[in-house]
Amino acid sequence: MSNNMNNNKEALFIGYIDGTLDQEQLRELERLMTGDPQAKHELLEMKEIADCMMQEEMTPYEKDRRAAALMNLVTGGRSIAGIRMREILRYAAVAAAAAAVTVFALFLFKPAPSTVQTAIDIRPGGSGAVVLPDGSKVTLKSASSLCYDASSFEGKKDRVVRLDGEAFFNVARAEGRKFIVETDRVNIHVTGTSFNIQAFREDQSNTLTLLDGKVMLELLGNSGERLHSMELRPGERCVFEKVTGEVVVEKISRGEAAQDWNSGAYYFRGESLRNIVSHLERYYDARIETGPGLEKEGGYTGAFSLGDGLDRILSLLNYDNAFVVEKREDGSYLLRAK
Amino acid sequence: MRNPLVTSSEQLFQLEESYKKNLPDLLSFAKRFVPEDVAGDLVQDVFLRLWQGSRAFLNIPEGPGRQMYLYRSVRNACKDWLKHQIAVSNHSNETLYLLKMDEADHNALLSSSDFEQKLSQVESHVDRLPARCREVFLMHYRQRRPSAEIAEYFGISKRTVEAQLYKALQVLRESLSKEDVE
Repeated sequence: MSNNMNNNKEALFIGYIDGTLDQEQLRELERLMTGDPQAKHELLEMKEIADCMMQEEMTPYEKDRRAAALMNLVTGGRSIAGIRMREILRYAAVAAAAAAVTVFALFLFKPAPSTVQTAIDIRPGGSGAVVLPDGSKVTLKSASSLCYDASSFEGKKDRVVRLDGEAFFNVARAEGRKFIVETDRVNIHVTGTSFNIQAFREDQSNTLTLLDGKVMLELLGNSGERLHSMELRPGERCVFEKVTGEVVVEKISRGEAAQDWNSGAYYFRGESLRNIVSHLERYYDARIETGPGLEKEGGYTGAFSLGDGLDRILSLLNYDNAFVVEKREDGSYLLRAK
Repeated sequence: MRNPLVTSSEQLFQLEESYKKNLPDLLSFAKRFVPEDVAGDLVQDVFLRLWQGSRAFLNIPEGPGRQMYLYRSVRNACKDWLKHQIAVSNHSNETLYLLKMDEADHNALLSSSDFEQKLSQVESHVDRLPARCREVFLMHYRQRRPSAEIAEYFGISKRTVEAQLYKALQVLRESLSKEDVE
């Protein structure tokens, strides 16, 4: 009898720890512990030991998915300053997908036809990165949009992009060609440099933080007239009050300036498909096999937000139908030549 | 003068960073007391409420201090959820919820480093378990293999597997409490 009772205690304890007991068994466990006060204490300690053994990992994709959900909740109301819901700008985009999706995902395999405006819109809570035709990298933050005319990256012309929102720029040097970022009230003339600009049209102020290099700022008035120009040095942050026209420049620490803007975004230039795929495998915790004959001369160039699903990224990677994407029953993928 | 608008968006990034950093541990923690789908919502709610409140937690540097604050908040959220369930459950699941409340109260691990410390204590004692007992224990709790599968693997009854698991946890519990006394 006592042995039987003990057997039962073992099964009930392990069942409780594993979370497999039904109503009846739970009541039995409760009865068992009412007659034995030490038992509950033992059970709780044993559960804690088991819990320690069962700490779970989380894939970066899962983490990003949950973070994006929180950010959407936080920025969902219109009251949060700086980042808010806005009408999405629409341009005739290079890829139809770029206009349709709100999370940015765009590939630049070939030079775009020169008359086309390219627009990248980031939904609130998202982030994304783009490699411009000259190799400059731009990381866009929540609810921001960037557009440019691909023709301005050809020949000896100055490179011009237009920003509404917040972005980090890492500008590629190009002999004798300026890089110009236009926002509604500040224009930035750059040679080769890293900086962050926060210029939401509806905000009362714009902020520019310079990491290295040199930039020249053109501050504009309400109707686009030039108020004044100034130079910014590395490690300086400039805040421009749009209503009063007041400008404040402050020194900031290197660490403060170099926040990790690039998290959650991935860009590559002239990369082999195999390398891109192994990066995706790590990030999404997936298995992707590649068949022969898929590598392109000059490699693949592009960028996407890792918050996008893997299926979507693979179909964008295959924008020209060069290969076939097969999804197997075990959840792994096979990319093979047509 | 810093502009309040700028501060707000910097705080937003800090919130996102902190959430990503602490999410896996906090989620594992909450799952000890509440069902898995509820755990995700509760952790999210905690961050949402912190954001809507004074945001004072952003002033605590990332580390054990902030973690303890977050762990406490998550534990309280779990207890509130359990209390609510007990109030509305019509006695059907009360036994389970009451035990889970006890678990939350009993729990003394309130940061990731607490967990790591406990885990390394456990691991230093696992080696001293009898061979079969250790194997069954690690297969079940480390590799997450169900009791029935382990029973089949060793050609023993499910009841024997449970007895081995019980024995392992009891021995570990006793050696850990001895260690604490010393």
